[in-house]
Amino acid sequence: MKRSSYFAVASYIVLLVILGLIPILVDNQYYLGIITSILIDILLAVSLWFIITTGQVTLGHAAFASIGAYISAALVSVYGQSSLIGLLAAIAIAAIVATIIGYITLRITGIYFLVVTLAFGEIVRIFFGMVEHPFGGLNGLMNLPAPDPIPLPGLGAIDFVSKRSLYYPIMIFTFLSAVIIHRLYRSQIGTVHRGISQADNLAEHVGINIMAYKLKAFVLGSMFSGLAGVLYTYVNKSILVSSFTLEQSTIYLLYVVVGGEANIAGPIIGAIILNIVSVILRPIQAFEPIIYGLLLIAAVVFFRGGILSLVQNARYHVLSLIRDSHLTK
Amino acid sequence: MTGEILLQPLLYGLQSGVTYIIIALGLTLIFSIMNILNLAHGEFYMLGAFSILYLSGLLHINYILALFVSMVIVALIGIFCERVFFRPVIGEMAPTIIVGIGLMWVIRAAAQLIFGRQPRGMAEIWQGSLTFLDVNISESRIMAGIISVLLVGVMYFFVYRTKLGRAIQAIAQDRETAALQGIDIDRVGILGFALGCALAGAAGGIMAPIFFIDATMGIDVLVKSIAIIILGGVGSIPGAAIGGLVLGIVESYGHTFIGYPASLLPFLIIILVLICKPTGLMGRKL
Repeated sequence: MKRSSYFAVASYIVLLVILGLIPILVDNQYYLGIITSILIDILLAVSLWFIITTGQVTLGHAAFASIGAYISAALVSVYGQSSLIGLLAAIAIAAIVATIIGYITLRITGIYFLVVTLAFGEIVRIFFGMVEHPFGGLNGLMNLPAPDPIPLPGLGAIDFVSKRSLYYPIMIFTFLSAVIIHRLYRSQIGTVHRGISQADNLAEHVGINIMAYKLKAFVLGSMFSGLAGVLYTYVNKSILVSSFTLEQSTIYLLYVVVGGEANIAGPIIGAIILNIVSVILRPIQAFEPIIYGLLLIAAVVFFRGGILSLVQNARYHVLSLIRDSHLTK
Repeated sequence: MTGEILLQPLLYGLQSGVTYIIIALGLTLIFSIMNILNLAHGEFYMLGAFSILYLSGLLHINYILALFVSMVIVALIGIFCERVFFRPVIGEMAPTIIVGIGLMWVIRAAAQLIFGRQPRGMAEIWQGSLTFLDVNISESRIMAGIISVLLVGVMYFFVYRTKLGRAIQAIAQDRETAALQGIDIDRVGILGFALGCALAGAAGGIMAPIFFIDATMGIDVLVKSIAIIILGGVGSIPGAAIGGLVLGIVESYGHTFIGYPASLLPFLIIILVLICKPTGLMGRKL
């Protein structure tokens, strides 16, 4: 194990402790609810970012979340299966669909891939709206149960009825997923992804099977998106046709673009900051899309590289200031 | 009786198909000159429809005159958007898409604030209807079809017979060579963008007397016009014409005989064409 890996493990543990303390520190149920949904958004943003690092910008990310949400909700509430089976089936089906769709469409690049995934997302939305049984058609599925309690031998069981108890499974799933994606990106896979997105011809010519890398990233990202959909049904207790639309896919893209694509902190920062903006804007909700839209445009026109690049520029300036003051002394 | 059931969707589909051609022409024009897939294209359609609602429906200006005025209004908004938002990122794929998404949100939300969230209808300009082979078709639709055909004809003449149109073709084929021949790419580009937006606005104005007008109507139209240009071949005017007619007619039969699942059609077209024949029916190599 390299020294940097020890550092990474230590920072994961610190992060986990901080995340674990949040429900104890935040007493307000309203704010805890917001933090929980931010965690789900982080999961979606990070998984989308992982796909984007291969150079494939997708507008169908929300479709996989809706597949996960519908499969889990239908298995649990219509067919009476346990939450665990619902969760596993949801992720498995998201993975299968992603494999098929990815295999067919990932050879298309650039703008055409974007358009194909947009079309796929809309087909999924219309499909769920069409199927009355078991997906509830245009009305969706309402009044979903909380996840099954986990029995502890001799100590009773942990239930997930209150907002505070629901926070923990969602935090743990999001944390683990982000760690998995972070480890993958820090490994050789991340290097290959950067190579593919910068010069796919070159990557192919040095013997990298770019299709395989793109497909793996797409399937993995979509599985995490499916997981996020399942978590969404736990928090919101319902899944509607309007829950995961094209609008949502573009919002996840917004998280990545505004946060910055350079590393995993970008989508996380983007999701947190834009959710906070959205909470602040709640009294003037009608203006929210205008501000979101202007932010999105600003992110590509004025601060290319998102908030991350702003932070890096600021750090560069501070460091050079310190160095200069040292020199003049 | 059975003939009527088969003929009615054909006539309605032809009319909406011809109008779709106009929107798709605007989209494909902007794409081939500027290399921008303008995702805010549907919003310009919506703005055109609202312009007509106010100019013709509420101020009672002559409909044809109002249509011209609304085209000019939408073109000016388009020029503003191009100069301020698209110009800094031109030539880059992902940033232009993102700017388009941003504009889509801004324009739609602004329209909801200004015009309200309720769907609005305007009084029909031409009352009455004609009966043709037992099929009843309203005069509004017939006029919409005629105006659309005229507009497509004007566009065809403009692109293939005028100097500016040839400049547009040259840029679409090869930007740099066109610039070397002395074509002012920047000026033709902005004209093309304005014209593309004006076409979307015109289509909105043509559809306004027939359908309800609503601030969120842009996205459907955007998707349909993307499907049309992909089906016909990106950058091809005859392709857009064929694509528009095919989509209009098939969609019309679909809604008559299948109902709700027919809304899957544009998306299926996009996916199937891009997978099986990415150049579209009439397109050049991508």
